[in-house]
Amino acid sequence: MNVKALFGTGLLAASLSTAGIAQAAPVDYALDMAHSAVVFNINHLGFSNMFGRFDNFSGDLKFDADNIENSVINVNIDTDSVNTFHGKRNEHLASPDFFNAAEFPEMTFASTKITKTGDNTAKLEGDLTLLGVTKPVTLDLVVNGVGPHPFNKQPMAGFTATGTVKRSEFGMNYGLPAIGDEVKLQIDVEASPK
Amino acid sequence: MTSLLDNPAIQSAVLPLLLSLVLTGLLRLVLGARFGVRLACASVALSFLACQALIQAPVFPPRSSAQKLPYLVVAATLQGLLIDSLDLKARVQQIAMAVLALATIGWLLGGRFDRIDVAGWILLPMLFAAAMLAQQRCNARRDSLDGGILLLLAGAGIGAIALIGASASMGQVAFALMAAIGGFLLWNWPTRRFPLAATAQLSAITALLALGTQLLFFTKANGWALLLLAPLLLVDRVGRNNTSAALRPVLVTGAAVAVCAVAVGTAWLMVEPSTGGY
Repeated sequence: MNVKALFGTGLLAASLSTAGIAQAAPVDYALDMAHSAVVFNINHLGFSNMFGRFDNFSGDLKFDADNIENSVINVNIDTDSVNTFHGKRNEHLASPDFFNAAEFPEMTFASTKITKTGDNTAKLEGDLTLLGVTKPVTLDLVVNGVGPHPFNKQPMAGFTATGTVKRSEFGMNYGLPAIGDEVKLQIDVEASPK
Repeated sequence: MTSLLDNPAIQSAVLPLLLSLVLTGLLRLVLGARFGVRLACASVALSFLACQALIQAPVFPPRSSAQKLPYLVVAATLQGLLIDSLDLKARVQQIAMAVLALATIGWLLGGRFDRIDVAGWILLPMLFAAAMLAQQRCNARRDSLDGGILLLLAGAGIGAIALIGASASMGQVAFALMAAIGGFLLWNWPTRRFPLAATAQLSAITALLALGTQLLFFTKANGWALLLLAPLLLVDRVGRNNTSAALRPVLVTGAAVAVCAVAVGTAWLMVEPSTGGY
């Protein structure tokens, strides 16, 4: 192989390797709060499963459409916004018995690692901080879709992350075991590039 | 599967009452005539702490104000045991109460002082004064049941107000203290056997101060209702000329119950129950 060919081969190899890096840069996404939700589900006395949500939360998303493992998400949840569609129960949940919203107004999730497990699935690992206690949690992540909005054609992406946490691990012990220890979490996010 | 110990009524009424009843006699028996009489009242603190641990398991390091309460009560108990063991003067007990009250308020509210509003800054010295006055009244009448009745009904009032507008767990803790004091007082009526010494005074008042501070600053509990409990500090004036060992406690209790009823009734009228009935 002569020098010219070698040089050309080297250039091609360099462009191929840098091309992957250039496309892999995460992009800042803004959450569409009208189509995003943080909901939970907990067992009550063994008779029913009670659903609830947090009305107020915010978050940051850096999404790499080509390699989800490069993505990062942080969610900040206003604990006083807990809503189980029952005024008195909402007050009780915000009280020191449960979320203690006066002393701990925020619950946060900060991702630490994403591991792809399938074409549109991944394991989302992160730190959940509740009542001043930080514990690692792993959520099952599904990339619902990445593409243009059907009407305005703006790029967007949608995800669902689900998992189970034990509230006792965060010091939320009131009502155990009558009110379940395991809490099923679901975070649904729709977002578009900023 | 729930056990008997998971039952709130057991945790906050039956168990602390029984524990206190048994421990009082046990301490007297084990420690003998000299120390046993002085330290029997430690049963109040010991049974309260045991039941409080059932209601909310101790956490280290404590993060919330509720998690800090048992550590404050332990500190108060140790100070009280030292004072009672060495039979120190009332002045020392007063200083100990002042230190505990400041430590309680400071630790619970530490880091939030910049967020306290004008009303809060008015409440803080009132809380401190209430603790000091309670200790002064309890010590002045330590050879009667008056102090114990004052603290028992204060626990009842705070517990009921907590249940009505704020937190069931705080209500349980207050009722557990009430029951622990009740178990001790049962040994002293109609025949008085053991004084409500420093160990019980400091631990109970510290617990009540911590609960009151939590209710006022971290919950939606009715502050006016808590204020209406203040006359409890004067119930020992009722029937003060009556020296009957059997009748006087009944009069004082009646007055204290009346004060409590007004306070709890006010809380009920002004705030809808939020922790039950759903």
